[in-house]
Amino acid sequence: MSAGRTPHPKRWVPTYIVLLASLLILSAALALQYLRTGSDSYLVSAAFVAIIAVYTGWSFARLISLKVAPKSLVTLLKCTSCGHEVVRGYREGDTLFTELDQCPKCGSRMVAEGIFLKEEKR
Amino acid sequence: MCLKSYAVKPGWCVGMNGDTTTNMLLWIIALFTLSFLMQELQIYRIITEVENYLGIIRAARERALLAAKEQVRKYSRSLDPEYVSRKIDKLIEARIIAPTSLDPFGIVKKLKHVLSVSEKTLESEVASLAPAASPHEVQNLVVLLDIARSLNGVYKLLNHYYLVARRFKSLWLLMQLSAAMPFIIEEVRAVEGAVEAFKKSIPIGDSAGPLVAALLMRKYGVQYVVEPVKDTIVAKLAHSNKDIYVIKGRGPGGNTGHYDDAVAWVLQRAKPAVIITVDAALRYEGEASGEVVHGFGVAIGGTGVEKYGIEEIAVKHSIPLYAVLIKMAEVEALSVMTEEVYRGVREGVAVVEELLESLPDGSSAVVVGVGNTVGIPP
Repeated sequence: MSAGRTPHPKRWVPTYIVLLASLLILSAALALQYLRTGSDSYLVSAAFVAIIAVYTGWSFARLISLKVAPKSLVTLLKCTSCGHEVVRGYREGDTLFTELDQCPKCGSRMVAEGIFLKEEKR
Repeated sequence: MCLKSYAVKPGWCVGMNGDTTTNMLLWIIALFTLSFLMQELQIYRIITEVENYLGIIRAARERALLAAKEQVRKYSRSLDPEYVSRKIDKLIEARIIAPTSLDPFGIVKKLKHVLSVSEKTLESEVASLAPAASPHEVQNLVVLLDIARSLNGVYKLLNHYYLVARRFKSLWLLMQLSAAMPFIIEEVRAVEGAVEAFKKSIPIGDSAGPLVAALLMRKYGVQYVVEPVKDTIVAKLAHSNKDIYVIKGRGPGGNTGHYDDAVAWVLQRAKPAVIITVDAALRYEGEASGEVVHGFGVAIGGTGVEKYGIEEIAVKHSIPLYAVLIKMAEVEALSVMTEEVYRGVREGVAVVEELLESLPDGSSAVVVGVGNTVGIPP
């Protein structure tokens, strides 16, 4: 949650892509060796690596389908005279019910009415 | 014994053949060994799984402890950092011993006494370690230590069960641990989520009740605000035709206040027509966060000491007890307040106002904002 952001699980996507590609290449290379030499041990190894690749692919698909919207910490400001509300990113030192900014509409003081985690629009 | 007339020998007869007998014996031995080996493998698999979970909990405990130590050191001036660190290590090991229930009469008073002593002692210890901290910063430090203490307690308890299960290689104990771990991890993550909020002094989901109280105070204005009980404020709203008393923890430090004593203080001055408690309530899976529902009774969690106190007063004076509950998940209750919960708070203010409007003119009421008041000034 440092800097008001929650770590996103999809940060593992590049790792999965590299792992999956390596496994597929290895499996294909072993299958090719089997076709060339006819040795059963290559076939067994290729099948084994392919099973691991399928499992990795399945986990990757689950990760891709995971929908976790990132949230950021925001401060809700409300104008003391016209009631206009503004939501902006939280800044260090923001405290509830303190005057923080000026109203963009009427120029009056704006007070922090809420500090909360807001889902980021994507 | 074999029948020579058979063209194809029956199975039992084949068994008598030298090679086949050895094969059969080998199969039986293999099956017998495998049945044991499978259990051993299963035990090993669960041990690894539980160890991984324990690693997550241990890391959470270390992070919380480090955060608490760093925060205390920020205010410890010239105190030796090693001394501060050792003192905090001792403080998180401190335990609260509940009074005996052999004779349950008066147990709530005893529990209240024990809790009060532990609270005061911890606060004075933290204040001595952080002389540069303001009172509300001390309260936040106390909560940070409480978080580290609770995570330490959870880790030690689970580690104990794990070591016992491993020592006796008890599959059933390990399976129970393994089954409970995902739920425990969820709670640990929730508790850990509170660290950030208390470091920055911003409201958490559980602060919904005090935030409703604070918004009411700001909306109507106050005739006066007093602190008749330690860390608890009572504000009389400047309402045109009703006497509305709002009670909440003082804030903006992380504390919950002593609502029962504050309600008793109000009762010495007025005869409220109703006591309304506003609190965060855990929602079930599938329910929406921030949903506001009505309730009857006293909505206060925790040890039950304050709930008991308010119920006693209400029964003695025949005062109706209403509750306004703002629903949220456990993770949301302990982490920084989410937008859904904040919307629930705004709706909660409207619901309390509706309840107050329904009272006849000239009557009085008490509204208690229950929960941790971190980041919410009086």
